[in-house]
Amino acid sequence: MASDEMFFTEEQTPNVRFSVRVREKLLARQTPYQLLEVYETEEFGKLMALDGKVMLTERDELYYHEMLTHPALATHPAPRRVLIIGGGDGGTAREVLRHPSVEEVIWGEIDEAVVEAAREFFPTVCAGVFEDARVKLRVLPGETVMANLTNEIDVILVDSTDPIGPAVPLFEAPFFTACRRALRKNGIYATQCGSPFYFRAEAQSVDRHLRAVFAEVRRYLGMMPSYPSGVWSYVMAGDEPLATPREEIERRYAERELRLSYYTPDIHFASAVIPPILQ
Amino acid sequence: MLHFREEIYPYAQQSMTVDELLYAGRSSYQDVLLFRNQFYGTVLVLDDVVQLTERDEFIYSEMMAHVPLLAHSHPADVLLIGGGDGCVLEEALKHQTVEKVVMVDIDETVIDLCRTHFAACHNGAFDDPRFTLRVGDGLAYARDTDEKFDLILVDGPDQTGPGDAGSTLYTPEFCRNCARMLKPEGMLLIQSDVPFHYPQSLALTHSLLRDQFQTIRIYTAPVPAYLGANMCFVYAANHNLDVSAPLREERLSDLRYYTPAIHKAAFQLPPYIADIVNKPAAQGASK
Repeated sequence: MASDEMFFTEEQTPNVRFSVRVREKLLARQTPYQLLEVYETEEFGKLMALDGKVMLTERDELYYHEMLTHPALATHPAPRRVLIIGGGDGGTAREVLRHPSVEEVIWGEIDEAVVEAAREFFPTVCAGVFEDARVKLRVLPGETVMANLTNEIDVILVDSTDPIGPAVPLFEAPFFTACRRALRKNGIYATQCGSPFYFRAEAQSVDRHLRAVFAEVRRYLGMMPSYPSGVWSYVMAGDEPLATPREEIERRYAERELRLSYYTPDIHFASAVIPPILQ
Repeated sequence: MLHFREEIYPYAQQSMTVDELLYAGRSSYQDVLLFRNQFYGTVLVLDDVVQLTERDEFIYSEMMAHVPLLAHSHPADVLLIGGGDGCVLEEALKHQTVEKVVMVDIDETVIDLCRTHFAACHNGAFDDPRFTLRVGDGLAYARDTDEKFDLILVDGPDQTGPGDAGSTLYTPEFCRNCARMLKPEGMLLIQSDVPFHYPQSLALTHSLLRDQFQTIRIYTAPVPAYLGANMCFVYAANHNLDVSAPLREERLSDLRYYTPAIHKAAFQLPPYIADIVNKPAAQGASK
């Protein structure tokens, strides 16, 4: 067997690990916020890790970024102003900009080093978003970016680390209240919510906080091969009904010319079917 | 701390702590490892590939059994090829319509170990009077039997295992005999691995079945202990009945994954999976 130095290993739980064979370590840097690593891997393309957790691999990042973005944007009839919190790699902004109605992406990423690493190592992930005139990226915490926003955002996407660790404030009621204030009346909030198998308690607490703030909450799931358990959970919330008629989703998908690797109108609805074990 | 490390894919591996070793040995057919992991509970490993864990087997077992059983108007006779752990058997026997389940599994050592160590999963299904065990090769049974079935569930090993005992189950001869063993409304179901890491399995199963059956459908289920997100089940029949929704209701006890809504949702494939059979040329197979 090959030696461990040739692998990036994530400790998913104290009893379960996931290892990806790497060809080369491209970056290892302690930023003011986290340990940032970039590897060239054998089969996953380049891999970015934060504090030892896989954030993205070139091979499956599309599944995650599509599922964080398109269910919420397709639920909105005409998203124009979108706010992104986190997502410094640019993948979420790339997906947002596929919707032709989007005029402005307001974006707060706390860690400039992640943006720099994306520019240098992940050109297909950030795909020119940092140069896009519609994008207003600021290196600031999400709370700060949102502080002055009132009734002016159509969709908020929180693309942060998991609901354990430093991103916890982004999953609690005061932040959700600020999101609700920033959103227009029919605005939609969406976030990733970790592995539904590994972080069940966290997902339940996020759900509870969201329900205290928003009238409507809709959970959904997606496949994520390089993330713990292979299944990822997401949640969207708003004050207007989030269950959109199928014809409407299909029409928006066609009109916006979305040609994707994971998200389709069928997946839009199928992903919101939650098995009893995860309810 | 002792770890079991699964090296089925050289480039992506999972490892689990062996918190208690229950069995390690070799049967007549394969290496067998059984251990306790604090997260996954009891884990069965055959030829170094994770087969079954106490924590998530219900997802696999429920989806393999209830989707076809509820898409059939009156499933009475069920053939289970493989599945010696008894977990799919337990789910099949929950159906009141089922009168007979024949299990054909080649490895008696594994069956005996699972009877003991996965009692919490199969709940004594081996003692059900409707159950018959035939220890032997699935292909040989399929070739020789005159019995007919409403459902054939192939719960075999992955195709990736080196020298795996299940390779005869992925042959034209086996598929042809399955078609012969099915009653007119009958259906065949084969598990076909995790398409993200091993798309060839789905592609091969699909193309083998296409030669023998007029209707083929694919659905997926997420089994966390199988690396690489959702695995696939391939469903084949020589009729055009819609299988992507339950046809009948049955009061099934103790379900944790399957619901009628999950049944329908499982047939919705993301393009990365659908393209494996729809646009085989576009599939950049990895290993």
